Amino acid sequence: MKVAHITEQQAEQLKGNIYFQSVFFNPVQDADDNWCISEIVIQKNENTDFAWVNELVADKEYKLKKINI
Amino acid sequence: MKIGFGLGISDYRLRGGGLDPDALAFIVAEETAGATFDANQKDAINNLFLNLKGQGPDNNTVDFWTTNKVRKWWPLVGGASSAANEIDIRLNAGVFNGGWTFNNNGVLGNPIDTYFNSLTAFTGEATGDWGWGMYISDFVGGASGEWFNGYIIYSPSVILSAYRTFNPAAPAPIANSGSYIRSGGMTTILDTFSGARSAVRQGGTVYTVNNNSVINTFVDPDMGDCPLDFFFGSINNAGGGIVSPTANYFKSFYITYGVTSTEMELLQQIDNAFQTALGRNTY
Repeated sequence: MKVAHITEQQAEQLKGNIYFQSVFFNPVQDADDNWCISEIVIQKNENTDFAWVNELVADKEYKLKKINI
Repeated sequence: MKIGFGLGISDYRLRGGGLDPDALAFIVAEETAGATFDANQKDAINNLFLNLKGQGPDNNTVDFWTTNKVRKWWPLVGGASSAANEIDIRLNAGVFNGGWTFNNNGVLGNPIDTYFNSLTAFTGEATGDWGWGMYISDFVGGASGEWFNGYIIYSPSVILSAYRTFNPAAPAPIANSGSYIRSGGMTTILDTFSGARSAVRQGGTVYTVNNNSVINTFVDPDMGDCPLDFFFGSINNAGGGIVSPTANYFKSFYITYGVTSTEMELLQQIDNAFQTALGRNTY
């Protein structure tokens, strides 16, 4: 699945907001610490406060960030 | 929705049956949130509730309902409505985050950003008796080659426990907890209650298992009531894509407390009967 990169500031803006029905944005970081949102979120976004999300292009391969516990 | 609901009741009356009142409350809540059900689906839901109460065709002995042994159960029958899929049998709601897909097969995550928060703030419970189960459509292995599909985490970025082969044996607080995962496309139960795959809390310490099956402890920052929550989904964490992005429909998820191994197996049977009745017990 492809992702789009966003800025840390954009990621902070999205957190805690609904993008589709009752589902929340969940930006995540990849292995290079880029903030990412998945293709399906871009496709489904209905939150007009964040209409810029629909303009994003998911053209990046997601690189898994591993966290040791 | 009211028209559909009325017809459903009529169907039951015509057949001489009746909806369990808690099943009815669940159905109404689901329909209010945007789900629609036909008579077969209502039958399946009703039987799920009856089975959990020890009054159903697949369980007429053990009462998981009034004993509160099944604390939460998400049937995930909300169709395209996320709000309906959030509702559990006791009408509590969880929260979906990230790029989920919702349809009659259940809820579909992706391996990047999806997780579901049960919003279950358990308090005042003894440790060692928590369990959980889920029914999903298929598995893929994590990066280590281990099955890695279900887990309990403390926050959206910290996995406390994951489903995996457990060796060496767990200490007593963990050994009393457990979990299972069953694939709809398989005929055998892949895990049973006998192992320990759930994080458990004793005092201020949460016992967990890491990627190498080493027992870890996690110091709970809240030394008061237990803040553990239960999540499922695919967190980009610890070992690779957790479930296949094309085949990981979650079809049920539940949290138990104080069930025996035999009772957990019974819950698996109840779950399987439910999924079979819905026609979604296959991949």
